[in-house]
Amino acid sequence: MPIDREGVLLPGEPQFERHAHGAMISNGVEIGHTLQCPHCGAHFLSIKGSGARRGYCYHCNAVLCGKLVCMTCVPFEKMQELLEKG
Amino acid sequence: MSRTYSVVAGVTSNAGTGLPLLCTWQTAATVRPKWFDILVGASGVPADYYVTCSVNRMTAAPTGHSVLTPSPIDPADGAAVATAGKLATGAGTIGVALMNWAQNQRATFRWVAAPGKELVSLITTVCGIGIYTLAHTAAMILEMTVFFEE
Repeated sequence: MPIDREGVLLPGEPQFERHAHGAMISNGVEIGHTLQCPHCGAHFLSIKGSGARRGYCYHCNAVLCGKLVCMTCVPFEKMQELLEKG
Repeated sequence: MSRTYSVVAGVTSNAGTGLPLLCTWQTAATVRPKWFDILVGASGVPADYYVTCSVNRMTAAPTGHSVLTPSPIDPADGAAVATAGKLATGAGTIGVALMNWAQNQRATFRWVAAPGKELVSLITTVCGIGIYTLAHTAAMILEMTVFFEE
């Protein structure tokens, strides 16, 4: 059930992150934290009780965004290097 | 040492078109713009309308856009290597989603990245990041500011 936080619709109650990678602020109030996927670089909100399956990379030591392509460990910096080499 | 720039645009939401409202991209593989601060609000008569914004990678440079000149935060810095534009009318092909949110027209949304956790453009040429509107209950003028470093 979406909730309205200071005029921003969130898909549920956001999870407090001890080491947040980003902060969402609305009307000057911090309404949620985001984490960054170490593989694709996307930021996402963790919602309490959402049941979302995201995965965890023990090599990068970080929570993943949950996209299928991110389930294989190719760190973002490594991907950049591969793109650079062509 | 990286240099920091801001780009500002007032644009009308264009839900469902798949065209970026505001974007930065690079035409040479020498810099990787990193977005670390995004602000979006709406001007005009306040009303209870919602807009769903999304930050996505672009896999092709936009066309038909108005060119924006990134302003250096430090006046001693030179011009940005990256290019910025608003209101593309073509291309600007929408790629992988990096973040999204839905906001009321009455709200001012801001997202700030922790140091080292910015949204980074891929180092290939003609590849960048843009803000798109996925849906809205009514078209509205969005005032956007993006801070990035390169």
